[in-house]
Amino acid sequence: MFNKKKCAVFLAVLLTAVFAVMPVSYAMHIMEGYLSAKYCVAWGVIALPFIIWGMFSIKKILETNHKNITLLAMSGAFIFVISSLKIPSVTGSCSHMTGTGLGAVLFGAAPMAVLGLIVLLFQAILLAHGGITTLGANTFSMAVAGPFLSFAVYNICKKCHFNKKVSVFLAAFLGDIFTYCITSIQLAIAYPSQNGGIMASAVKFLGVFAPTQFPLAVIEGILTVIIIIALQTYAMPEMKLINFIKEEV
Amino acid sequence: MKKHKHIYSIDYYAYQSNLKKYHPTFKLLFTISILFLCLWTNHIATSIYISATMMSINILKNQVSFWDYFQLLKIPCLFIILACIAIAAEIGYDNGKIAVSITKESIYKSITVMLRTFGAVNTLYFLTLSTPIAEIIRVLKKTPIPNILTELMFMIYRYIFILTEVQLHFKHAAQSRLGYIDFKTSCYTFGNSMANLLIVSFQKANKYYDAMLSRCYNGELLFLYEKRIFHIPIFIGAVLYGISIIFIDILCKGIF
Repeated sequence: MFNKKKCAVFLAVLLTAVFAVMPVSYAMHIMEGYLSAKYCVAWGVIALPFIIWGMFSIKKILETNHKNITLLAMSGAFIFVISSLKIPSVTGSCSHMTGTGLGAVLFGAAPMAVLGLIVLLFQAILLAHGGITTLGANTFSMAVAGPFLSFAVYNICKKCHFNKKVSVFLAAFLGDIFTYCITSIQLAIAYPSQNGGIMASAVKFLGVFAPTQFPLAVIEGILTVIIIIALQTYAMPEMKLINFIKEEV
Repeated sequence: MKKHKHIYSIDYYAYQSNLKKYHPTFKLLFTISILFLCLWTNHIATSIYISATMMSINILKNQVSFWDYFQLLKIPCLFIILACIAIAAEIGYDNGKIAVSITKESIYKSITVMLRTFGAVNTLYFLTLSTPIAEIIRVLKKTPIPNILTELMFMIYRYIFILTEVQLHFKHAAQSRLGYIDFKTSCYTFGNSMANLLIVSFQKANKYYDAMLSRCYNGELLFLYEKRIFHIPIFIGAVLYGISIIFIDILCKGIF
């Protein structure tokens, strides 16, 4: 009995040490080959309707003025760049923003699904984060679930006349947390626990990534607020351009 | 190459690869079929076989030096190890207490997944290190994927490099003014530089559209491509490689 306890303590310390050191922020991307074939296809099918919806909204935006295509492309490139940059972090490990919350607040949820899909494909090919077979699962968690929740939270806060800073923070923070929950659930469905089923496994994956994801979500929320404040101060004409895009949708 | 940023280095390798001259459709189909074989066979032996062969192709044929390839594998490997520890450790409830346990089966399963993922990552690197993205998009353009999507891909791919460069200038400017001296300042600097980046990118977007219009852009970007060859012996080799994976799978599943 004593030995078992000792082992458990040792394991716990080891795990904590491993997670404290490692750059786990990429953990939100499910790695190439990690999901078996049937889950790859299933998540792709689930994400597809949202992508089609996004395609229609983008078509609508372009029908009003084809000039918006460069604007959309720039937004996509911006999301890619922001998610590939190291952000200041407390622990010293290299953390990255997901950019989903910011994208949803700025561009709206439907176009974000399509831009997110392209960004994820490029991240898989150029940076080897995520993968081709897991593209469906990653698209659902990072380009659909996160942005849609952020967008909903932001609009609810706006309706309730919350402080703008608070609502932007909440949108980015909750979007991030939600993305991470969905990823954990996706992993849990693929690898359910032997004696606890999917729920126990979900708790396990949530627990594994929580120590890094939670502070990261807070930092992402703060950074998003700073970006939005700066944009409102210096870039009213550009903001009007984006609002134009959103109203068209 | 070590000094280059990650995103530049993969693009650089793709353009200097020996396998660049082969047809991108062939390479894309080859990668996807090997990926699915890797997932479908799901066996330690096939995963090791795929990892080893793909690694040697990447290092010998795609001409990536061993050290650089190791650098490229570093981040995926960290994730693989981490995620597989999570599979190995089982959590269960035992009389209201939470128990963490490791069983033989869970360790076997986690090693299988670990090697499978490693094989798949190496296969993906085969595609990225041998085929420039522009050519991959060109293949996608021939599929029924909507034209707008590929058009956006072409543009986003180009703009990524422009924005990365602009951002690098911002960063140097901020660093030389002690913008990243402590955590609080770096948060402010980072946020503000990102906002600035968005403003700059939108200004550029307008200019680029005008530039494209003045070159008769009508909703479709047209590029001149180098001719790519389709080599029958290479094709036969690829098919044989696929068959050898299936053969190893059958052999090993027969033994164990």
